[in-house]
Amino acid sequence: MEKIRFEHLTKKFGEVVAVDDLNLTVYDKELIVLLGPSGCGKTTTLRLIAGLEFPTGGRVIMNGEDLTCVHPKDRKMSMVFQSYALYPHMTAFDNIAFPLKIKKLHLNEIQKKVREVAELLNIEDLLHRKPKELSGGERQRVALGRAIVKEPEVFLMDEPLSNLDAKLRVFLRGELKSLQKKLGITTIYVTHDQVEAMSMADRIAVMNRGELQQVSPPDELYHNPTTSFVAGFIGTPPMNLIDCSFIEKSGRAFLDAGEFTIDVSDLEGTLKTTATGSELVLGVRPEDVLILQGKAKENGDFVASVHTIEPLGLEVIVTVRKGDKLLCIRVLGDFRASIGEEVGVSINKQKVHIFDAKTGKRCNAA
Amino acid sequence: MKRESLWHTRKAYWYIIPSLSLFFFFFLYPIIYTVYISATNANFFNIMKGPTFVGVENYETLLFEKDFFYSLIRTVLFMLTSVPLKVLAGLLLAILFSSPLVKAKRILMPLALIPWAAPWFFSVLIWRGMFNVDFGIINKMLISIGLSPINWLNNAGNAFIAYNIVEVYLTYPFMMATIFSAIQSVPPDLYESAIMDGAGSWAKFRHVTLPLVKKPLFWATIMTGIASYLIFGVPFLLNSGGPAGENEFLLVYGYKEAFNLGRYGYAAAFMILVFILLAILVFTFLKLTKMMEE
Amino acid sequence: MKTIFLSWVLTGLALLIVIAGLFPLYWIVVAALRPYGTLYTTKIMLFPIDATLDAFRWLLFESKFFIWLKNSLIVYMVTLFTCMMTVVPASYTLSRFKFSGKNSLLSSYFVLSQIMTGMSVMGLIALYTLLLKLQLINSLIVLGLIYAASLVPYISWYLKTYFDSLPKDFDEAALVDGASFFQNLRYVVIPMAKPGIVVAITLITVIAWSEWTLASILLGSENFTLAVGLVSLQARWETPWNRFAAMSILYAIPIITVFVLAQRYLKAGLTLGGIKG
Repeated sequence: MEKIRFEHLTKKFGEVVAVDDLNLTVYDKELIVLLGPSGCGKTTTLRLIAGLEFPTGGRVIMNGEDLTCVHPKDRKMSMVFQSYALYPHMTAFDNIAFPLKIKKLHLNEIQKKVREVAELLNIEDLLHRKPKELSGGERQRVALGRAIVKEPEVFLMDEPLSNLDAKLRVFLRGELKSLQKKLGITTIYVTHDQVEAMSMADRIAVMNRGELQQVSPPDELYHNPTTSFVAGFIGTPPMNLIDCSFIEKSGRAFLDAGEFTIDVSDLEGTLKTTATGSELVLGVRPEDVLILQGKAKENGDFVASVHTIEPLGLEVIVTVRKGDKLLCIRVLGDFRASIGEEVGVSINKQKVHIFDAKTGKRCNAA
Repeated sequence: MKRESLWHTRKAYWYIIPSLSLFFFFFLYPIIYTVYISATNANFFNIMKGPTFVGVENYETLLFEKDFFYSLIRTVLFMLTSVPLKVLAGLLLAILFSSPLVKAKRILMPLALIPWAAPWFFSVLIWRGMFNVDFGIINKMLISIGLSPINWLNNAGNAFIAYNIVEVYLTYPFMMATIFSAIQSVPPDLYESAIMDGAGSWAKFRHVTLPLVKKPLFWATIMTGIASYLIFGVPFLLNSGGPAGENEFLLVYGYKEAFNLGRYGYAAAFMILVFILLAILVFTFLKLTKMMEE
Repeated sequence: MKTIFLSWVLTGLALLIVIAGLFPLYWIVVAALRPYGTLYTTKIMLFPIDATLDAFRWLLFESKFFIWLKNSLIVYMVTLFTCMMTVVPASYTLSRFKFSGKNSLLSSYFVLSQIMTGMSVMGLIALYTLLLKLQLINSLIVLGLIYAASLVPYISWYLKTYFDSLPKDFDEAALVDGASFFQNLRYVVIPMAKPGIVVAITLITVIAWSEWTLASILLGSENFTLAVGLVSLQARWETPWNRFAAMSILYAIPIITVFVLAQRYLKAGLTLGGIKG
């Protein structure tokens, strides 16, 4: 069921286009993440939803109602800022109670609601403290408390975990996710951390330079990126993206990457129809490449030399080089080789992603 | 809605209007009214019945009035003496109190600033007492070291000196504090890098402190220059503008024309001229310094 | 070795400056305590051995001190209240909101603050004639309003700069939480702006309490503020110095105390207020 819809949402700051013709639907009770590098427009989008910024074009619709002329306080949304924005001169209790106090609720009711929320978040003992007496994680929970107590229809979260240390972040990711599921409130979550997005989101909307690149559930984003940007952004270590051109030779089709060529005759059909030219980008994930050592090295697509080896316990990340091109490969289990050793590289043609170099869009079918 | 953001709203005007109207009605409008008055022959006798419009007559009279020019010259003289004194005092004191060699700065400096808090006329009148020929403490101290007492306030020349002393006393805390905070805002790394380059104290002052302090110093000089030009309270309260009006600086002269002689229209025209001249002075000064910078 | 010697010399110099600065204040205290006639002797007396509280007795029981004090307080209350009530929302608006004419207004406020003191004499003539015609002369409330009006540019500019230093996040959080402009001001902004507001109040207090020129022309003798009353004690030839001193001490002490107490806030507030220039 649709909760919020963006129609041709555009925001310009002078000449700079922060959000460019965004069209997106957010469904009821889902946790959707706006993901992208800094400056991609995700925070601006969030502020447009909240009503702190006004769109240059397009509109935001919630529950069928156009929000353009609705004041932030009437939008039934709560926002958790990156800095939490906890009022420093008020105790945790007063911070959480603030929205209720503004609504002029009765003192008893305020007390009841605040305690309920505090219990939910496990911060009952901290209520009398001021923000400066709280740790990062505790402050975060107070900020959440303030957002929850309003009983909003939508949660807006602007990188709420980025100010915390790594361990706490990992722990709170799970907590936030289960809290959201429990409360069943539609949540729009902004982050630049793709691991965070992948682990928390029902769907992820990837943005770059104000444009929506793709919106899909995490799995699909990983396995079927529709643009080269998304392909390169999602996944650690990132997908290998190699510039190449499409050539036909003696009845077979190849991707020529300069240093090496790959036979893609099986995919020829789709490529010819969707590509705008012959300039393409070949994408293949590190786990979809095989290393062949010893005699077997001639059996791969081409031969390269070992550049670096990073043993990570469960797996080894090997970078090989051919000419000026580097390829990142994931090897499970043990791997022994010396730097500079020649090895064979075999790319799984079933798992390649081919993108148009000019538009960035995907050319081959999933 | 064509607005940019929540902060772009016309309601902003409503929040500003109260203070703006207060300022307009009780301050700005009177200033404008001064222009009107200057074009009438308003004086003590006809003010209630309604003075008549005389156009630029007052201004004409003024420009031929020699007292006006004497007053202007005296004021300029005062500016030429007091401004360097005040700026130097502020600068030297600021340097002194920011020197690492001075101990107990945290106690001494606030103490040195206390005269700032005293109401100005309070200080001026105390000085009036101290300058008294017969029993003023200053003359008593002079006598005790064998010098003869000076007739401070009844002698035009000495009174001029007295004005300077009092004016420096009144302004040194402010100048000192302004320049001091400008000095404090120089990042310490600059000094450290100068030390590494082999700079001694004087070189450090000349090449690090001075350039960065130049701008606040410049503005402080302008402000204090304007203050000297518009000096009123000090000469007026010390000795009513010199024995027999010999030290009547511009604003003192204007005040007396208005409230001792009751020539309101004339005095208003005088004030307007004073301010026009001020604007010209400041403008030329700024233009000159800008030209010198290029 | 040389630096230690220099250090003592400079410290001594600083101490000398402090003493010279505080000397007039010391002198007035001594003058208040000495019997009147003795001031005419040629001897210097740094410590008033013949101290008497005669002047203070006169001050408390015979002089018009309390009447003048009451008048000063009335003017002060009007000034403080009017100025803060109108300027605080205005400077907050100047800090946060964007509207056309904002920058011109701010620069004019800045320029005006600098020349304000001089303008008061110029405005004096007009104010006097205007108020005379409107029959509003000799009114304490009108004087308070005039003071408040003359403080608008300076205090607005100062508070605006101070508000600029408070992060906008809190305001936006409050707005999303449902606060109106005034609720935001009252519950969020003003509590966080305490140092700046203390500085503003101190500035208003010092300026309003020390104003003499306007008050001396616009007030009749029964409405004299302490400032005007004090100066009126100065006669052309013979001033009762001990009485003058006694009253002036009682007049100046509150203001100096306020200043010293507010030093803590002043340090934080003044640098934020951009005195660095």
